[in-house]
Amino acid sequence: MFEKNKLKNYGLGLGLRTTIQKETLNYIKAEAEEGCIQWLEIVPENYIYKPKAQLEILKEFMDKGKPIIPHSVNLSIGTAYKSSPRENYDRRFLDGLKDLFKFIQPPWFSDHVSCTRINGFYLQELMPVPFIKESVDTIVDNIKFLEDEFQLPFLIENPSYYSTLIKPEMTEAEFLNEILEKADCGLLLDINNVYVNAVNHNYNAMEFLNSLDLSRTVQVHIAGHLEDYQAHLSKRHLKILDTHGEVIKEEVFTLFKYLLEKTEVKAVLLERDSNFPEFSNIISELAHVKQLMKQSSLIVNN
Amino acid sequence: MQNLRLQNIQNEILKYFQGKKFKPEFLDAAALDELAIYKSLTISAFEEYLENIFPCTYLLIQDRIPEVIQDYLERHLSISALYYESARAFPEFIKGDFFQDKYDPPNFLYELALVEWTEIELRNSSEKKLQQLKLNYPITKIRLLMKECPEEIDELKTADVDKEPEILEIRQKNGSA
Repeated sequence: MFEKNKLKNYGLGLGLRTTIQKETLNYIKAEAEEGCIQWLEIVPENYIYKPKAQLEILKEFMDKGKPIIPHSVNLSIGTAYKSSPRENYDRRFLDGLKDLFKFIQPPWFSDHVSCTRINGFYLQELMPVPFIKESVDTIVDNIKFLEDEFQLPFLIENPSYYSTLIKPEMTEAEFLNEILEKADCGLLLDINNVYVNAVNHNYNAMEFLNSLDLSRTVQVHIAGHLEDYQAHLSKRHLKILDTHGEVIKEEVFTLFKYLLEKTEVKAVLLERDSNFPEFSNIISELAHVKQLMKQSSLIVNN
Repeated sequence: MQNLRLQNIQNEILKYFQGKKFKPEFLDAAALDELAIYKSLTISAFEEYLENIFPCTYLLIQDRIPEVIQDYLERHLSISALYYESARAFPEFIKGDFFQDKYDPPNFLYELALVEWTEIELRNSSEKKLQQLKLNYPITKIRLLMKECPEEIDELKTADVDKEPEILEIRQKNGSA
């Protein structure tokens, strides 16, 4: 049974990416007691089947008291199966993740509500899943299989999407709520994705948050996005693109503050995946997020 | 077969990514245009891997990179959950008739890509420690030239380098090749 209140508070974290790995470690080694990075998120698919030496970097962070929490990209919980969810996962991949999880001892694991694998082929992109009942049932079965396999709570992330593929049977919020309830799992709310989707699909972001079951929010992602999408990729009619490669916009901070007024969250993560600025700029952004978290009575920093 | 409709939708998405001609039966017509966004994103992301994994090879094919990547992904979608492994078949793709006929690459390009891939594979391997490659072309010299004289790169793009066999040993050192 999903019990949010049994999960520890982790405070503010940063996505550990190769480009900023050394600077992140140097910052943590030099940081004052009240630093901005309390934990780190990794993409576990980048750390499995690797030589032990490459895991040493994670150990260095853990030895500094920084927990490592995995956030997957290829568990593909939206993939349809023919007879059992087991057929969606190869043993080597699951065992690789298990070894890694044994090493980092995470409190939970997560992935996007998306499909990255079809008939055994990985598309290397978070493909949307149609908002239909059949998708809900499939995703719920996949999550139950994964929770059983890893014996850890699972969180679903609301993805950004650029297509609904077919006429939806329900709204995005109804879709997510139904998955949360039927799978009895937690929510990793990507507040930037809420904003991106609201603009691209023309709905009100705050109303969306109001209609979502926020009581299951465990973790939050906050990131930047690319505006003027037309200039970035031609022939498209979308307005913004979820890139994690820009500074966080004020509108996203507004939603973040609104969320913190509505529910307690256990961990907040600044995601920066591309177009990296000077590391000091990332720290400044983290400091701003931390300030907002301090103002919220619903976050307890350890 | 409780999720047959979803299976059908996802099969059409796969066909789209594999560049197969089909008439959408299960996807909305508008979805095909929207899937083009995802294809563009995949190509952009894959360009980053290529640049990291095959830095020298990349420089020699950079001019036609989106087309090369689309051709590669349509023929070699990965069966591994690990991103870097999605580039595993790239040297063989370069060696194959399709690439050779369409792109008319420099004659050493396959071996250059093979060396770069072998280094990455060893860096990420928990088993292999050493790999020996018997090469027909002086890949070490070519890489050195590209590094020290970047102005020569344009010339190399169309060059036919003389054969000069080389045995290259690539070792893993403390987890990195």
